[in-house]
Amino acid sequence: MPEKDIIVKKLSISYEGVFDFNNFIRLVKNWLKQNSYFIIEKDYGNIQKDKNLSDIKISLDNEREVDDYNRAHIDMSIKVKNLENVSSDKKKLQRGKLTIDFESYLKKDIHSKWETKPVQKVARGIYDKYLVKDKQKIIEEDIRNETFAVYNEVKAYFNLLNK
Amino acid sequence: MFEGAESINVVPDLKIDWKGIFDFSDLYKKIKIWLLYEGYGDENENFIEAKYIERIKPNGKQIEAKWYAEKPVNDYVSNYLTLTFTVVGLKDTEITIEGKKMKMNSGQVIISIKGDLVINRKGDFGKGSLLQKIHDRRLFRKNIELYKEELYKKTTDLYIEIKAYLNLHQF
Repeated sequence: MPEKDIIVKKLSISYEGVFDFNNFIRLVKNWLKQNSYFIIEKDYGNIQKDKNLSDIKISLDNEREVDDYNRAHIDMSIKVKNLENVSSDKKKLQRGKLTIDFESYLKKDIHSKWETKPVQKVARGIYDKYLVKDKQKIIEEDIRNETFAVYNEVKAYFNLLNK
Repeated sequence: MFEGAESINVVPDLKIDWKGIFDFSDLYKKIKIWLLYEGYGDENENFIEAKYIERIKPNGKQIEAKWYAEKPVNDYVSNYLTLTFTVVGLKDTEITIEGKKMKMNSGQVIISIKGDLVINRKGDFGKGSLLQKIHDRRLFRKNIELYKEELYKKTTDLYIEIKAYLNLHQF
């Protein structure tokens, strides 16, 4: 089984107000595509509370194959509470409380090539620790940077303060 | 599945969770029609409703159903879809759309879709045979990757179709 190394445990953004939900989704999707991430929408939940009021939960598993051994993941959970359609300047917008959580990790030995025999498992440990240590560090750094990049992109979209 | 057939999970679990007003019987039929249209829905050949449980509860009907649908790609490989329906609090309700009264349901439905690729589907190679290993890992490897991609696409097509029916946002 591939091994999972957490890179960024949890980043969270919360925004309450009026926004364009479709536009926001398009922004996330474009960013992921531009950065070569393959989007897997794992879960879509919609609880209609009223005629024009619903709670939405979307889970996205986004992955990018780094090489034959490593796969980068930036998972996102998008939750909207009390989402309702509103009109502003003839534009269809939404109001609600939006929470976006990010978690990134690196999956190693993605094709389970090193797991078939105990000797290979030990060899893999040595390979990771000594032979490709620097390369792995660079890959991890890249994923960390990408996670913060998409996080900041979303923050910028909602005009939230940046550090 | 024949003895010796091997299942590779391609799509672990795509889930749609919807609570609100909808027509469950229509949704159930529409999904079956999609399967039929795509070659997965022949009840005499490759489709089975393995489970259907309906319970009447004080807060409405509770339904659990499981479907298995298989489509052979060729003599060696087939796509295998597993659909699970869980419905809670299903009640009849009436709504008015453009002056017309319509019978609908209110409640919550959770639909899970799983996609597996079955290789050695007829069990031509014995279980764990060396010949199969050589065949799958050396000769047929690229084809298997291609079949996995096609199955992934088919499974997400169904997922998108159900979401569109329920009028949910699309990515």
